[in-house]
Amino acid sequence: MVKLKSNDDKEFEVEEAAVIQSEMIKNMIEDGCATSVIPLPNIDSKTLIKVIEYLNKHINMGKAAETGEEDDLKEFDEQFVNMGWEELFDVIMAANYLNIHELMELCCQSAADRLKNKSVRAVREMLKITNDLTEEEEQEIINDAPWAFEGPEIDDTVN
Amino acid sequence: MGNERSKKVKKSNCNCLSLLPGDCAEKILGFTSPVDVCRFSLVSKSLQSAAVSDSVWEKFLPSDLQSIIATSLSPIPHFPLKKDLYVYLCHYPILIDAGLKSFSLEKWTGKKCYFLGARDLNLPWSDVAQYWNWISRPDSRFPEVAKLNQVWVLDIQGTIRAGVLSPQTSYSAYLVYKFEDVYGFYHRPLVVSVGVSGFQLDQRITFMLPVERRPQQYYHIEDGNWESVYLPSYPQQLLHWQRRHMQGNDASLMQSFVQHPKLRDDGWLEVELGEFFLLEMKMIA
Repeated sequence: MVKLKSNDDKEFEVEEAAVIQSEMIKNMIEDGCATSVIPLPNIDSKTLIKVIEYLNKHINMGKAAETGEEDDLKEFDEQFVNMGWEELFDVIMAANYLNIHELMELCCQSAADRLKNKSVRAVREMLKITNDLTEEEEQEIINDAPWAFEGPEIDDTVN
Repeated sequence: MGNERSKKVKKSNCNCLSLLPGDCAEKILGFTSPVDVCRFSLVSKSLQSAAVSDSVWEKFLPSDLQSIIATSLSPIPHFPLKKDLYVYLCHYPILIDAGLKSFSLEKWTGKKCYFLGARDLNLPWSDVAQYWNWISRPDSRFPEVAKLNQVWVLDIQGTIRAGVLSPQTSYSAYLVYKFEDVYGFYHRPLVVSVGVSGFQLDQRITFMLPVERRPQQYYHIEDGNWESVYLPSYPQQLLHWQRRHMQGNDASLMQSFVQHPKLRDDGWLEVELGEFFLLEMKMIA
């Protein structure tokens, strides 16, 4: 068992087989630096619970292929990324920090799927981004690739 | 009031993609598409800088691009940014395969596009000057194009190795041409088709001559006198042709449909020959 501590001082015990999906922790264990609790100053407990849920489900990925549990795993992944933007970004940052390749791919793919075909206005609203470009800068970007801003497939809805 | 306002500002920023470490935003953009990334540049400064990063555009360039470029005859400028290389390859097709083909990228998706030069096509009798001539034209990307003088049967075939195409992609094949003299192209339709590994997938009927360039009437010699004859319309010709060539309820021919040529931006005409979809080329050794 490996002990992880979130930035709000909550401790979690995770099986080593699960936690070594994190390259960062795997390296720490190999280097003998994981003897006591591993503090994770960038991750809050809410996000860490999500990450551990993913790690536990994805123990022995190879086994799933053998026992035909791939569909089950796929369904879990679909359900797993069914979360709001804020939560998704928290998990992405945690996956990036812990260096969990598969989780990173899953969450970034989900974010990309939500953004695909969206209009500029819709992206700004969905992600609550304030436009900080000047009018000249905007015009330059449009002139660079005018074809990217027209077409019936551009989706202006925010969900 | 002041307190409430600062709270609001904080909330409106907490959910922002720009708060992600730069490489996370780039990773997300890499899972969208070239057209999305170009559009998202307009969202904010931070997205604009993520949208030009090499890690994003690397994913949109074909994985075997280096080997394609290595065989190219065309000089390709050195671009510090992968995005600029992408844009260049969308707009300036490069000659590959000893000048027989050209290669470019489709700008919306980054999928690979190939253009077979006339020298790469199978043109029966193309070495007989009476039938075909090899000429060069400033409006062609290839050093030589084939000029048709006269043939009794027009049969043009081209093949490309499926492995060089982008996998999981729906492709269309086109014939690109120009008319100097339209004689012979207004009497009857042509059959065009595409197939994979010799298996025909799509068959269409086309009139290569655009309807607006079709003469109203033509002349032919009847008992030693030139006579003017009104040309039947394309629908009439099609009906006539179908009666002659289709056996009753030939299902495969019933499915074929009429394809009209289009004028391209470069002044050439193109007619779509058909579509095909390629899965991953795992099965092919």
